[in-house]
Amino acid sequence: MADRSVYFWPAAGVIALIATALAPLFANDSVTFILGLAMIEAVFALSWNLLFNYTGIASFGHAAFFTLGAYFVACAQRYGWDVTFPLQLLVAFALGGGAAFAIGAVALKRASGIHLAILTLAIAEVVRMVIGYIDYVGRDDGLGGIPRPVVNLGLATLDLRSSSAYYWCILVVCVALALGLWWLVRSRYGRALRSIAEDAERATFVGMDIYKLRLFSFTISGAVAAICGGLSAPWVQIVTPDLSHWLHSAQPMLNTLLGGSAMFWGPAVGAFAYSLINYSTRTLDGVSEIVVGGILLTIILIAPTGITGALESLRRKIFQKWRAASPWAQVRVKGEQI
Amino acid sequence: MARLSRRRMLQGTGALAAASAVGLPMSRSYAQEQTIKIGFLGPLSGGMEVMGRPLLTGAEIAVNQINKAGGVNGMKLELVPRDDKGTGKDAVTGARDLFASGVNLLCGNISTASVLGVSPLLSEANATLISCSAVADSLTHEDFTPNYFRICENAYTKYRAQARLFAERHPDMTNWTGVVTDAANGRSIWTAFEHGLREFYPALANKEVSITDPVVTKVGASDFKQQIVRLMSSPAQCFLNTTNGADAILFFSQAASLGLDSKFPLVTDAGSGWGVPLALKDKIPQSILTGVFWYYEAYDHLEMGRELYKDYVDATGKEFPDDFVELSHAAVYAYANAIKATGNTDTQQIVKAMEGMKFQTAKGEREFRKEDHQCIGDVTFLTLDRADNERGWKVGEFIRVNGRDSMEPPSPGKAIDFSKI
Repeated sequence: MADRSVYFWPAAGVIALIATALAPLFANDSVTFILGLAMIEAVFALSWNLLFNYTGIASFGHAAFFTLGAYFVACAQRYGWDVTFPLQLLVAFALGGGAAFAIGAVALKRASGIHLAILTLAIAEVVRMVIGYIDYVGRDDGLGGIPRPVVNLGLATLDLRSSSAYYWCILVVCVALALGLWWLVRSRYGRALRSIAEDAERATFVGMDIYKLRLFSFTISGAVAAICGGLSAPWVQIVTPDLSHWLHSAQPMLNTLLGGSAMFWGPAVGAFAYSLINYSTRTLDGVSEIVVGGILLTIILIAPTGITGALESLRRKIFQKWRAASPWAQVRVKGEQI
Repeated sequence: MARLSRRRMLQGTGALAAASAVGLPMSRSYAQEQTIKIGFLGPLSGGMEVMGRPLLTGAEIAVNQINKAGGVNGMKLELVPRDDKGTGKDAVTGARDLFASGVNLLCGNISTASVLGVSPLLSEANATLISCSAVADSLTHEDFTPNYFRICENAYTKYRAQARLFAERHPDMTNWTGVVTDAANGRSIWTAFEHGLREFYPALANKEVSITDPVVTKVGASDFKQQIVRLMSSPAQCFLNTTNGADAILFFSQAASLGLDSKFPLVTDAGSGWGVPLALKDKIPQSILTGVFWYYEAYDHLEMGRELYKDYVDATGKEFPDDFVELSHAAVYAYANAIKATGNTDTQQIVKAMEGMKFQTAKGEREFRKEDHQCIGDVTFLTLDRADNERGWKVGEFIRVNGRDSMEPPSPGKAIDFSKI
């Protein structure tokens, strides 16, 4: 008999996707808003994990690329630049990718490990400080009142001004980006990246150009982070330099720890779990951070492999017991005895 | 001793998360029956908590006082607080949560960044906001939105009045500079103050004023030594400080250690409540003229002022009510008056009722200017002098200026044109 346990994760994913897609029909605006942010943070965390788990690069300044994308779309929307929204996202993608390529081309050649992590952190801080001096983008106060887009498709118009319409736009783009990353890590490039993460020296020995592959991963990761930022600007309707703060760079790391880095979807699960915890503690005015921190610490201590790791162990245990108890298993055992 | 197993720990965490998710058992509940909800958005954590906490206390006191007196049109008020951490993004998240909970009347907000985040959402959400201490001029000018009101004076009114006080009282102090936070409120304060100095010194002291470029600092800076050294080497006789909250505490502490006092026997401050002098103790400058939104002793001739002070001391056990207490207290009373007048909480009717509305507060009568929703009321200042007592300082003089006389003409949607004033 076929092993039905392999359907557990795809089924869970489809159910989660359907529930997320239907949220605006049932949930209130606040929950929808948090879910929209969670989707963006989920893809942002996946892009960071492409570097961390699949390429063996730790970046402490990933929020810099998110910020670039967010500010580009924010300016385009707020100042009414003559660029349609899909093109804005593509430009954000290119901007993030271009910046990541430029930084990576120098940084990846000269630094690795903790040095590279600190270098990326410094770059994010520079981005934050530079924005703080630019009048056009509102300096330290940020750029508020960002309108949501209306996309002219020629024959029809796609009005994304309502919360639910823009929410579904986020869903479509985030699913496309996540599937793109999923495809990438399973492709030939993905396998090459994994081999670098596992043993860079051996990868070099077998003829891989690890610099080029790392640069490729860094570029894609930065581009995806930037598009996430671009999506977030009209959703939150304000962008501030804090987007590039180290705390925001730490968010995908936290989400990855919480969800588990071993499985591809772990960081995304972590992002949703974090949002749930954050939302649940919102009424604890002034002490919510302490409670959130305590809960996160507890979860990470109890499940060092993250939520997906813990669920995977649970799934194996349950299906092993279920298999052992099922009549088919008895037949199989008897058959083996015969 | 019972051993805490992993399973029990997991169960406990689950229970905590579930209790939090439900929200009810752990959140404050101000009333059980059908109530009129007033949302509160303010910094309840982080560097601005020192100002946000008194703001919440003031709103709580107002709600309790109104409910004790029978509520508004027979209905009790209920305060629904959310932490905006003083940032635009968290203010937006908090505001959306309040809107989703059916709250359309909001008050609070200390930082201009928070108001800039929330203000554009008000029309779509059909809600109103009365901000308490965001002073940037732009909020009632170029960033004006019809559902937004401001209960405190704006930078133009307050800091030009502060400059005028110096021209009148210290005519020989003609060399100035500033420590200015690089944010909308800091820039607004400095622009108004500088403009005031340039206008009032020639007009009242018959002297030209010399102004050295201000030392700029970031909000949330972790060190001010560089700025202090620049102040020490500047030719200025006096400076205006616009840092507030935890930033002001750090700035003045470091200034005291580096001996800034010897150069500046008198300084002036944009004001950030009692939290700063109470924390500084004898590290406060020798003499400081600071802007305050309310000083309880100066308004103890008013019944509302006395009641607010008494309720504050009862609620907190502290003898110095922060001036922010009065701002949120007044904001809740503004809503109560508007609801009383309209008989309901419909946003558009509340907005209409508040336009041009005059109402009593613990600081005397206030009025929302019809055109730009800017509040008109007293503009107040206080001098604090270092003293050899337990606190390390004593209150010197209370100064009251009629806000109506110092205001700019309304121009919602347009920036103040200082060149034409």
